[in-house]
Amino acid sequence: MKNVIMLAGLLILTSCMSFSDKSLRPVRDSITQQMPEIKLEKEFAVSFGGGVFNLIDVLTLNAADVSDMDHVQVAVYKVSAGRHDLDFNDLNFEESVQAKDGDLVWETIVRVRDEGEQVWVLVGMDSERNSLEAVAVFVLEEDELVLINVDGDLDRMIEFALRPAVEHRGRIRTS
Amino acid sequence: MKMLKRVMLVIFFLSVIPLVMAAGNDVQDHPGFVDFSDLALIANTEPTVEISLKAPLLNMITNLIRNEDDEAADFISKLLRVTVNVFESSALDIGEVAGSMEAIADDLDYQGWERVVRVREDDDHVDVYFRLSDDAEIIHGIAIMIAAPGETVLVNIVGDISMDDISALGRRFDIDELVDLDVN
Repeated sequence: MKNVIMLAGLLILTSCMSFSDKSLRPVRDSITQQMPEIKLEKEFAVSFGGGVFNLIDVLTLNAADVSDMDHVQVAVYKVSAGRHDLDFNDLNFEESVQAKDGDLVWETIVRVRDEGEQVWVLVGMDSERNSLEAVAVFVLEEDELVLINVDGDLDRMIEFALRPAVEHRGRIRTS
Repeated sequence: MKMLKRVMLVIFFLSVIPLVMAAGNDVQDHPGFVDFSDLALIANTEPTVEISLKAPLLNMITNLIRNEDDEAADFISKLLRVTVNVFESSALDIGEVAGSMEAIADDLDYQGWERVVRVREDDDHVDVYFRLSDDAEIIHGIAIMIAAPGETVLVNIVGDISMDDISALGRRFDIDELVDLDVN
């Protein structure tokens, strides 16, 4: 019985998971179009589909509540710029994610420039449904670019995430 | 047919672009907007952290938290833009940044902003300003400038926030200073 369950689990995992960066290629291509002097070479990629999140919810008895996510895609690229300096300051990441999800309105909400590391956080909104549909995170560290894309019904996830904060309100005291 | 599609596309983009441009300009023309670009130039470096929340996302947050917290949702629904810029660098010349902050503060005073907080302590400089409507019932903008050795923080909140919203938020989160806030 245990073997059957493990096999079923493995089948679900493999059917909803891949190690390809196919879904993030439009983003990658848009980046290289904007910066023709750089090359992005895939080092690692993984993509999870909705089935995995349903399985996680079942296994955790809904404690994780992640089944509203449709996809999580992660890709790591090695950036080579030849003799050029790696300067992503003028890169329009909104345009890059637009190449993947053109129906959404993308907006950069956080930009971090740290020593040796830069981060961009973008949100994709469905202006008709007035809902948050996707979050994309770009991390540039040394010569490595990490792309993370999460999409699905993120509204419910944010509500879920905000719930503890709301329950703890009224505890803030100014000294 | 292809030609018609192209023409329709061009017409669509031509009609959308001015709307998008206007949406951006609207906030810059708002009385609560502060242009911190001079100070950013003085800092002579790019911000370490930039946070920019614009109206569409703020509306979305409003809808999300409406069921959980009506008063906080009301408050956020009045906001048009929240911008936070943090500059962190050991190369920041605190004297120069403070001098530039002073110039912006003078400009805000001249434009009729209300100074709510001013701190000058050792090398720390803090200025908090509110832009009020003529009848002082609405806060159009909040500007916060903090300069300390190695760090400068600039915050601009643009919106049309009523004093009742601020009081409600203070009551909700038990912050007496906000409940009793009086800028008149």
